[in-house]
Amino acid sequence: MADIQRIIADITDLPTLPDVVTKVNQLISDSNTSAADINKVISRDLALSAKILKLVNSPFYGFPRRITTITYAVVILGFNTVRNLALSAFVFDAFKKGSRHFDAAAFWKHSICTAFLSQDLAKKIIPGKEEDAFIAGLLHGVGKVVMSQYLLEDMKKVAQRVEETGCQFTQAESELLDYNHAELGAALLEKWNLPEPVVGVVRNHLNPQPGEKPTNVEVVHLSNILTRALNFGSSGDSRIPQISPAVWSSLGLTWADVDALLGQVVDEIRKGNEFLSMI
Amino acid sequence: MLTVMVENIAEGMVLGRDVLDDNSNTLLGEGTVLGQKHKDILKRRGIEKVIVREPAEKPNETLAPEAEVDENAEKRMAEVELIFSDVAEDPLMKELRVIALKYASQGGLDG
Repeated sequence: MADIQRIIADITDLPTLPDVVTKVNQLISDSNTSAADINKVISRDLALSAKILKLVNSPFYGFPRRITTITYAVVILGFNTVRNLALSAFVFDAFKKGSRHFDAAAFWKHSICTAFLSQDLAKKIIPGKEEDAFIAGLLHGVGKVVMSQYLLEDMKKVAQRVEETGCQFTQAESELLDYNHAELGAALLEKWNLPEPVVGVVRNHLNPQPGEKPTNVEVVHLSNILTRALNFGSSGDSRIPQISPAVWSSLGLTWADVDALLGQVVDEIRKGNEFLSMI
Repeated sequence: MLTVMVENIAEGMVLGRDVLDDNSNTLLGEGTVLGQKHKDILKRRGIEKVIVREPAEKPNETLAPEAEVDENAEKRMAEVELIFSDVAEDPLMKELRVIALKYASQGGLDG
């Protein structure tokens, strides 16, 4: 078994979480935080400020007058959306290098769709956990872009096996490597000090072991597969994984629920999702 | 119209008749411009022959203009079939495939 922490530690130029994201995370967990506090942190990052203003002025929100201040934008968007936006902008930029073996832009499309499905599903199944669900959905496959950008030989081997045999990415990984992208991604998020519930989802979403009550592990497991069913973006192969029957039972959904959930996300993406425009 | 074996389909040939699966669902519609991806799907589904238009042949005259086949929808649906090809017999995935095909036929998502 590979020492996954060692693999991450050996990547010397691995991006670190920017201060602005860390500070926004800290502020959001403090109930005394105001929009003005968030403004102070975000305003120091001009690129992020511009992205937030672009989002809040997009047709998606449809405000009649132009919003020009971060404080007002934070009030409108909400703290969590601002945090999600800051994190997304960072990861899209830090891990944008694709290769002949991995299409990073298509991968991030897949991840954004999974994030929104996870958020909507968590809101329905485990209200209160939807913000963690968004982040875990967004980052569930981040280990793949780490491989694509820093562990090139491993990614090349896996991608070639997928191409030659038509197997799933995870199957090729298990045959060729002594680690998988879920463990790698979780190790990265630990290094970034992201909350343990998010790290745990990323680590376990491929092999969920449902308990008495559903968690975001099951939510992201299903959302990842639903995104594949919509054939939106790419996750590095062209075969959909199976839904775990235990997960399906645990979530207690009907197919009408799934249909409605997909309809909601399809509408949102067709309207022009601003997260997608950042890729 | 010409009947051709699936292995002899050339890139760019155009289907002259719908190809149906075992349940009489349309797998690929008349007018689909065939490529390698379609050949793979047809082989996987055990289909041996298809009917294609002759090079100068016009589309089926009986089709009203408004009934024109949405070739992009056909392509999207064929892609969904390919994605589900390994899990088509799984009961949960069968249900999900039906929903996925619905969204693919209704415009899908670009990308």
